[in-house]
Amino acid sequence: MNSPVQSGRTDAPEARVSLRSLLVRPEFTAIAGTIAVFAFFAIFTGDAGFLSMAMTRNYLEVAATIGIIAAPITLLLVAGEFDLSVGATVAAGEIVMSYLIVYAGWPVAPAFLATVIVAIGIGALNGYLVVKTKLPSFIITLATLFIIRGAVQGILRMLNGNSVIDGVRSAAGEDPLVWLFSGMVGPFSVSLIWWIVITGLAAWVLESTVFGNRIFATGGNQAAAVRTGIQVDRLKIMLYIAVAASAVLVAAINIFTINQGNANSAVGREFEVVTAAVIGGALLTGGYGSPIGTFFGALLFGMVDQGFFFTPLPDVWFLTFLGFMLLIAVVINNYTRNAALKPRGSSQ
Amino acid sequence: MSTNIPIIEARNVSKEFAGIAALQEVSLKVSAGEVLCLLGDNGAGKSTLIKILSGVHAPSSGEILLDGKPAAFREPRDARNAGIATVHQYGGTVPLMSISRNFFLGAEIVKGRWPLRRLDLQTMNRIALEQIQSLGVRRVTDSSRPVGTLSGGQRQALAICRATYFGARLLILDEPTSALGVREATTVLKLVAEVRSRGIGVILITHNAHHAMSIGDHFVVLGHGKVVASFSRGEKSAAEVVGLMAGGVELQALELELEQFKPKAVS
Repeated sequence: MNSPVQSGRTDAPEARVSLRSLLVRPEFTAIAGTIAVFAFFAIFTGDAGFLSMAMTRNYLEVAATIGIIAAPITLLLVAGEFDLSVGATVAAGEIVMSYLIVYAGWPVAPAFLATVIVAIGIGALNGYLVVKTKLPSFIITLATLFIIRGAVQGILRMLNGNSVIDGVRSAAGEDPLVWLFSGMVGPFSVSLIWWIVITGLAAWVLESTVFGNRIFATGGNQAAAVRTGIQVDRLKIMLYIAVAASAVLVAAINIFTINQGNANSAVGREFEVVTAAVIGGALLTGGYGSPIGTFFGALLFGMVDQGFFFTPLPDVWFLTFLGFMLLIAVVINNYTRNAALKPRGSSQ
Repeated sequence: MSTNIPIIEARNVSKEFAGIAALQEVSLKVSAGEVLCLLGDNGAGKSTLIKILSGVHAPSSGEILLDGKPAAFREPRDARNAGIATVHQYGGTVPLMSISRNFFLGAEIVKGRWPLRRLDLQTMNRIALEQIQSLGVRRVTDSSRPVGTLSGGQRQALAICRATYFGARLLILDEPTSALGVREATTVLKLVAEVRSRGIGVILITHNAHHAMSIGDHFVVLGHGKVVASFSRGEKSAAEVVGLMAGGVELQALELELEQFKPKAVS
């Protein structure tokens, strides 16, 4: 398909490009996996209730609270960094917002804005510590996970001797903004809309904007990115802030849905969102990932989480099942990516 | 070649790090359409000199002249703005990103108004492909494919192409052939010849005396931070140059390499 070229410049012919470019898409595995898992549960547990509307609503709700955070986490992973503190940040958001609504009597709008400001602070702190210390973000955010989670529990203990703040819904009264977080859109919870919108936004930013191009470069080859004048530190701090902001959105959804702010909320969420992102094709080493893939990773997580209930296995086996799913997805992702990126030069 | 004012000239440049002299009284100059080969063993001071020319370090004494006028680069950006582009080993590319995204990294083409401003990937793909093919790398036919699928020589080509497109008048190529096989190295040397024919000045840093001899117009050999020799094309043989570089230590190994490397098509 190529015209002959002079002398020693050689490459293998560029056959199979279109198939390759399909397989190299990071979201390929997650979409295929979601279809497979849906088919599995539909065939084997469809009669038991997996296909019911209530069930669909349930797994979409679980998937949304993971996916809303997993979308910005994907951008952060592509930029080459990690955030383990998101679960603790959800709890911090729940307690701050519940406190302002229940104890301080604030309306929903200022309470939410104040909580977002707290999130910006947490995100900026995470980001600042990561770029200034140049230590692995895994360790930095593990530390902030403990600090934030402990502080939330400790402060609430001092405040009311408890680990929850109850009665958020009644304190908020008829505030119309409550609908934004726990309303229903048709048969589904409004969190589904947030999830779709945030995924779309993250995908657009990453794939189609200058900022996204620089996210890819920062995670793909930081030294080269710095040399072209990209301000990688600022970029990373902005992404940490976006991640923390998404965590307080989930916090707001939780407190109005469950009617309670909980200092022990979202324990382990940090691993759930990374699981969704990695099933969705993101590389932990940076430079590669897809918010669309992550969307399906979160959807798959939600389906397995809820659908497992209908299988004959006791639900304690859920994690084992999930672990195998993750393992299979990562191996397939790794294989397809390597195959697609193999240099086609024959001269080395 | 050209006899006009050099694009860049170093006059008696010295650099000390914590009292230790890395460079002593080094002078060199490069004019438009010339290839200056900078040779020397590891630790001879090549990297320090390059960092001074590209604005990473300031010289301790001596001066840098840009188009005949004293230049003070405070940071690499100053040198870049003056048209001095450094291409690092492996081209400094991002393997998982497409050719065109790499090409325009840091200077992306956009369309639309904020907040809907977005990358103009079509235009970026088209220009990147035109540019890279115009430098003779015609095997690359799809600039939306990842740079990771390119060979080492093609990545160098991409980086060189990118630098010239964005207005480089002087290219500093840091060991562009050292990680490459013989054929790939030939590709890169041809590319250097092509760039030179467009009137761009080139400083080519290399360990490989034969690569240098095949393309260079002028040669500067550094040893222990000083200029050991400075001469023009045809004044010394490859064997002499190798002797200057390393006191003949590497001679045998190099002769072996010279055996297999025949510069056929270098202009």
